[in-house]
Amino acid sequence: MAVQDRLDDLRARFPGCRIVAFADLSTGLVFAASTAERVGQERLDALCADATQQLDSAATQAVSEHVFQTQLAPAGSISIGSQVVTCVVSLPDRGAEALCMTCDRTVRVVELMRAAADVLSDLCEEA
Amino acid sequence: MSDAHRDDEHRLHHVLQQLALPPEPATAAGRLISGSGADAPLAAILRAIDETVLPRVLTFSAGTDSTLRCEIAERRIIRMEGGDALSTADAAQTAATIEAFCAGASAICLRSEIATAAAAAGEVGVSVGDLRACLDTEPAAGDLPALIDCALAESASHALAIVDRQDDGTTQEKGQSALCERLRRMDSTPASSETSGDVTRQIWIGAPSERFAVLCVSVPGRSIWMALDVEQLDDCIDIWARVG
Repeated sequence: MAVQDRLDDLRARFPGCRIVAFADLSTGLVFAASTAERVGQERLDALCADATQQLDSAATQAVSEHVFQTQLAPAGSISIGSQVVTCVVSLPDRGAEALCMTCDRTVRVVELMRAAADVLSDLCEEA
Repeated sequence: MSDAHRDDEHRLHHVLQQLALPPEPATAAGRLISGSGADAPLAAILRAIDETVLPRVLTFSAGTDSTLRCEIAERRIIRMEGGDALSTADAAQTAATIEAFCAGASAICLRSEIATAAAAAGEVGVSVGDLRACLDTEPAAGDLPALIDCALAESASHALAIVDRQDDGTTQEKGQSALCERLRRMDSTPASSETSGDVTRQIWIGAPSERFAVLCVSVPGRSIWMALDVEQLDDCIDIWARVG
């Protein structure tokens, strides 16, 4: 299945999921995205930048070190807004690719992130 | 899974979590369920009722001479203060009585005794859901500290550990001591761009083998760190999204 089809399929499985973007967080490059409505490149770039910030912040590094007690970055991060939830799923032991998502509060986020991790794993294996 | 099943699952999860914790401080009036970092009085009383399935007489004490005696069965208040059997129609009056009892109370103790008689047929009592519908439990939208306290009380049952730190140096901890120890090392605030007002809420999920996730809620002057059961995250997200 093509990358675009996989992203479309993932988003379709979770009504309320507005954006799924496959990106390289080390370069800020968005490879492909599936969106519920038309969005500009700048919004995808902003989502990617937000995801990078979520996983690269000093607080994130401290959580890894002190709470999860590992040198690896967390596998996922969720930022809770009053209207939308922004999530990022990565495979810290494999590379900088990640799936960045924006969804409504109604979405079952844990389920979404598990499904996203499976999709990301497949995408990275095929790359 | 239906909402009812999910509610039951969460209730059972909370009870099992409480059993794993060190015993709550006990006094002559029973165990302390509110105060010293525990839940707010009203939330603590509602939770105690909601977790009582077998017939029990719960006596809540606030201070030395203020008590509230409730006969509970099937998570419903059957009688208060030995009065007539209650029904759903009595929810507003019952809620007002509990609210008045909580007013000004800084600590609540609970003593639980086995009830000598089960509820008779037709004695349906008042459920916590009935009470909540009558109680003004939702703080005003702009009252951020109250919203945070409310969300903290609501999400506490999903938490394995909580470290609540104020800038004045006050720190309150609850839950598994080993996890509290880890959370205590955290003092920075998440730098997420997704903020709402003055509140920042971020969750980190570790490797798939990790049984918990970490939530940080940060507002000026206060940071709350929680280790949460991953399976309960969706509920916590919903609770904290309502803040701010």
